[in-house]
Amino acid sequence: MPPQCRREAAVKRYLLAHDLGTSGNKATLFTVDGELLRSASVPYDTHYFNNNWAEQNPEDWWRAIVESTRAVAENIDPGEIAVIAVSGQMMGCLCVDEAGKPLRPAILYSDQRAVEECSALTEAVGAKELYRITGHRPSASYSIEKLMWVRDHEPEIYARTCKMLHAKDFVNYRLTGVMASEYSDASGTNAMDLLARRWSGPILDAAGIDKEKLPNLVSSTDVIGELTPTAAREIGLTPGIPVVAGAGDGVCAAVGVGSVKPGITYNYLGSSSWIATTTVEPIFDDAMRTFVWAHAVPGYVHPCGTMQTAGSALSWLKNEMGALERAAARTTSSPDRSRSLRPERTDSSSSPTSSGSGRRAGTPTPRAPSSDSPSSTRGPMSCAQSWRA
Amino acid sequence: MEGVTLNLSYILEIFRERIPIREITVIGGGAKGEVWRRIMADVYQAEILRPNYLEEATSMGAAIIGGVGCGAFDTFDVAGRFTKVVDRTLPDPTKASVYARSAQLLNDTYDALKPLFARFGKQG
Repeated sequence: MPPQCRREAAVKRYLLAHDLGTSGNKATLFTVDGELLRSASVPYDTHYFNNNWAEQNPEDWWRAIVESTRAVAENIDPGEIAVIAVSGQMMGCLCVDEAGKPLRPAILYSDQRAVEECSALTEAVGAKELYRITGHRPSASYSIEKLMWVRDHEPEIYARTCKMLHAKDFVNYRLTGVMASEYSDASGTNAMDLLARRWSGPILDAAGIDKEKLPNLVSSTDVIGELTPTAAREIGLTPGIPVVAGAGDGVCAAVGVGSVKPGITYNYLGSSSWIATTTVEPIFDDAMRTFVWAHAVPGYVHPCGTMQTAGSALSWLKNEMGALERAAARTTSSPDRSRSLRPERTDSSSSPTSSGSGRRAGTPTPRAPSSDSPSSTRGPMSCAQSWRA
Repeated sequence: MEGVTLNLSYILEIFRERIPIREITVIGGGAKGEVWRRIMADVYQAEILRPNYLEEATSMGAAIIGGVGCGAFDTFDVAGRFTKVVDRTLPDPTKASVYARSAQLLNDTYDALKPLFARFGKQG
């Protein structure tokens, strides 16, 4: 980055972050001193069908970005925004054409249609070898298996696919006109060589996927472009604001919690849960129970293990067996403590068909910073791989 | 809560074969309860840190990545500006053996029941 740009950024006051989750987008405006000024969430629908398929409309993502940005940026000087950074749901598959236009709905991480493709890839590469190269065991949850599915079942869409993008990459493209991805999301495709930080030739050959259809990879902190005049008009900001490549949501959470140096470990306990840490060398488990992301911090990786039922198990217990207690709680009008463990709706562990997603964006409601308000958009880290086989 | 925590402790043990882990920051709704944090401290035998913000880590991480990218921050190690540790729970060393026994029992129970899970599912 030119020194001039650095100086300029240092005097600006705000950082605009987006958390493009599985059930909505949350825009948050921070000061460079770390103070959370405002946030606004805009939900979007997930289309569940065929038992275990899950898709979203990328135009809904963009609409959520537009509405939430407008809500948090109201009455502030957009010239004071130093940067825009997007965190995104991981392991999805969005096929776009040369103009960045989606060719079909985005296939989400929780979508399990690509089982046959996963078997074919596993047979060709070997599960252990794929785990060693990518840091992840083979699964229909990952992007490359989904892209194989598109190739086999929707060949005309595959033929027209210029790039396969992740959710935040699509938003970044809309903001800047630049198509790119970065290492953390790429480490959730089952197709990136984790240590070399590039697309794995052997895996792509085995998968029969054209490397040209995968985006160029940069670092999370690389400025991929600037806000275009068109995008600026839509989201209500001024053109020229730098946009970084950003990272997948699990890796953003690691940075946010301070797991940016070796050994700093954290435990997320929501409806699902995981334990993750930061290391220089990947931690490979012989039984492949844990997996490894590329970190947003150069030179590090982010080993992680998940369990799909945590708070949701407690909620189940409370709901199934705690009827008397709940009734008592209502009559004594104590605050509803159950809110704290309310399952986040679109968790992959919950039955997709029961996750009614009739919510539609209304007017986004900016809210004051709160230390404990449950996020409406925060899906669990998009890890579909419980450590228990 | 103990069952969930014991299950998670296996992940920790995989990591601990390679690196020492003496403290763990906990976020998400489950971090709110003092009882659960006490269970975590004793099961993990690690100090449990509870930050003031429990649901904002992802947004803060994105903001930090952006801040490093545009030059506002020189380092990634600025999470302390965004969120503060407001509670620390120390492990009780006398509980270690109790939970180690429970963990083994839970694992053996799971392995013993595993062949039956598919049959439960079919009856659904």
